[in-house]
Amino acid sequence: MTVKNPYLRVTLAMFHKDFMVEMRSREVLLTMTFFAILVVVVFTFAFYVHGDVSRQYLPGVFWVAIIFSGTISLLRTFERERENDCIRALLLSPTPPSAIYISKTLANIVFTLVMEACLVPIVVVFFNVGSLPDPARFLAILFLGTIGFCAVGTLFSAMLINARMKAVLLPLIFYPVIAPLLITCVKATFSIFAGGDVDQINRWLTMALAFDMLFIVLGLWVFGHLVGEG
Amino acid sequence: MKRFRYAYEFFVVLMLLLFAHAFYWIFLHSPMEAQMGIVQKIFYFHVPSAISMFLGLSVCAGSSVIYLVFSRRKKGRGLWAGINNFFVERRDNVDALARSGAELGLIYASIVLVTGPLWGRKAWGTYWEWDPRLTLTLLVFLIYVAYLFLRAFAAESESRKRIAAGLGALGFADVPLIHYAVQMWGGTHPNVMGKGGGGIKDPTMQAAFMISMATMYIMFGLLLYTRYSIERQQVELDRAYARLIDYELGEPPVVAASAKPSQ
Repeated sequence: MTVKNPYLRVTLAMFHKDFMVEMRSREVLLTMTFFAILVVVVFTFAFYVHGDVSRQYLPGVFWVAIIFSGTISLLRTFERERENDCIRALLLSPTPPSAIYISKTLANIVFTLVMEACLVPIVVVFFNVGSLPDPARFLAILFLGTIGFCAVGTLFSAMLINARMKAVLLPLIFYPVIAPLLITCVKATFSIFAGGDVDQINRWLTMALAFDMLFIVLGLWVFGHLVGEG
Repeated sequence: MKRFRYAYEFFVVLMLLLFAHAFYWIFLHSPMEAQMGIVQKIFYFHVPSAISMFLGLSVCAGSSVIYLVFSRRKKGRGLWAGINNFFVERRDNVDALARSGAELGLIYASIVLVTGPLWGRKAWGTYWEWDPRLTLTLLVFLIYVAYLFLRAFAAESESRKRIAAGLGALGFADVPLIHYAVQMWGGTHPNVMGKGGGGIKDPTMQAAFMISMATMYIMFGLLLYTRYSIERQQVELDRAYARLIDYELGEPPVVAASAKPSQ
């Protein structure tokens, strides 16, 4: 790699490492995608009444599947660094903690997006959606939602790196905090599929963007304090 | 805590007297509301509880931020270094305060979440409505329940306190976000609660409300102080216990860190 900026170089190198490790085992991607599909299927069983009615549940089912399965990726984020106390070495190195945070968040975002790429067609088929009314805005909310979830989730995952009962505690603290973003995403998706007012959709998108920026800034600030001086 | 003993007792007596006074005003002196009847009396407890809830959670969030920001001693004589070292020396106390604030906030949130539906049933016919303010209260309640879970079940020691402080701060930063989100989300729902909740006109009702507010705030302060002292005594006790173990093991008595003794 020929990136000059040392900060960026560290971030990219760590991201590259995570990505390569994942590509070799594919454990997170496969389990996450399969779990997301299962969630959608289970919800379809629970809610399917009639094609038209069920379409109203689509945004909710879709985002719940993303959050539930995204938790798998979040839980695994720092698992590899915890083994052999790798995180200590990382923190001892002159790497700024925020670079670690950004690279981990980036990796989570990429994995979640790959999962979503498999999930969208399945949801579209299961719920008999003819065509996407507004693909650009749908992609936008997908990206914004994913970025926000991963920004908060990676932070919490780092917080709980050495915690007992991590697998239980992460969802417990993650879901309530993420609630405003979830509301925004579900509402925006609903408007998009219902062919709603463009201004309204744009307002939801702006809100999601604002949440993302806030979460990232807070994440960068808190991450250093939480992990940096352990 | 000995220092404040008399002040403490004075305030306890004052609070009891005020409570008797408030009950008199609320139930005997102020008139029965025409539409709501006896249910309207909930208002005198519901609103101060809601405000106390946010007070408690702000105490938790504020202490959490202090705990995170001032984490190690600084050299130098500047004002910032002074403030820093002041808080660093009192890290255990700040942590105890955060915990007390969260617990109290949750107790008041429970009061709010119980009295609110009772009011709602009479006022607009349903126990629960996904109104922005109700949703906000519920979500904040859930976040801080998670905070206490984290404190109870995550790993021991300093790192646990720090992650709890992280959640305490982030959870509170989340409050305005939840507020905006649920307000936009609630767009399709009827806004069942008008501004201020009641808009009481009657002067005796206003007086009863003021007395009840004052009483509830004094109670909040007392409860916070009591919980905080208990938490601090717990820390002291743990340290003493650790020293005792060291002594029995024949090791030189070291002033142990705040690690809990193994039970």
